Amino acid sequence: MRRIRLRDRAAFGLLLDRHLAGVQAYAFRMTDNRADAEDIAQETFLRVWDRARTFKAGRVRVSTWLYRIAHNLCVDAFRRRREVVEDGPETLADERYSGLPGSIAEERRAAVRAAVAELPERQRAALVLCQLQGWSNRDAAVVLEVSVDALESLVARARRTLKKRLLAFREEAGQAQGRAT
Amino acid sequence: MTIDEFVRYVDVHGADLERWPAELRAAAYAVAATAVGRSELEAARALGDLLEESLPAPPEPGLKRRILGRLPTSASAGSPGWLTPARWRRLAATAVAPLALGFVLGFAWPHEEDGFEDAVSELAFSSVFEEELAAEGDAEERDAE
Repeated sequence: MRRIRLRDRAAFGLLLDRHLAGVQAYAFRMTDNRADAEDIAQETFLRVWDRARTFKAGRVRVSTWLYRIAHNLCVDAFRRRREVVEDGPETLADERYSGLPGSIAEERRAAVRAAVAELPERQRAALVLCQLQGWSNRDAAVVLEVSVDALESLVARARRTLKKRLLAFREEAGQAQGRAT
Repeated sequence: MTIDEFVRYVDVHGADLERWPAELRAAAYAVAATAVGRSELEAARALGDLLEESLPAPPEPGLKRRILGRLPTSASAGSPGWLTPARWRRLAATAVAPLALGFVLGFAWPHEEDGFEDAVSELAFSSVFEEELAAEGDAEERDAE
């Protein structure tokens, strides 16, 4: 970060090599939208370049700082999307998950994505960071600016909700398969 | 650790017992060895796998190039590269140090010495005074003629 503060593009390139894929994956898993994820990842790193001087080494890790910026941009994207949904007749979730019926595996994947998309944004963020990005509960709590206890509660609620929804999906799929045979 | 506690911890920490807090691990492995514990862990692992395969990270090789292309091209577009906070502080210190030294010397110098300032002025400007006096003398002589 010291070199990035001095406007060293090579150092910034190294930061991109190390964190771009992770930040983009996080944004994609949060928004479930490739274009939004790219925009968020791009904006995250441009903000890092602009605000490198405000980074306080020793107080927070670079990765934590990056993901906190990315998370705030995801929240902004949700708010914008919510406004669009409230203003318009169509719902994005319905559009995303109402494709033609495919294989059971595809339907199951669609069901998981729908279930994750329906989680409250903080539960979703906690789950994505801890379950999919491999962060420790302590680091994820720093990103989301909550206590470790609060973070653990968010993750637990997210996992319980998903388990219930996916169990319901499995039962429905089983019944549908039974009717078909 | 009871089964209920184990189930609650699985929801909090996930299916990988190695990622659980160290103080819980020994008890967790003991419960995981039971049929109920094993079944809970398998369900949690299945959920994790399902999430992994359902929410893939999209590969995007061109994004890094695009981000680098969006950076300001000249030093003036962003913050000036040469005037970093550290350099700014060094510059300020360099400017302030002689001022402070001047104040200290000014107050510490013995002002009570009689005729000191006159002596300094005389020493500094003696050649100028001499030239001016000579010029005045020449002018007076011309006027007299």
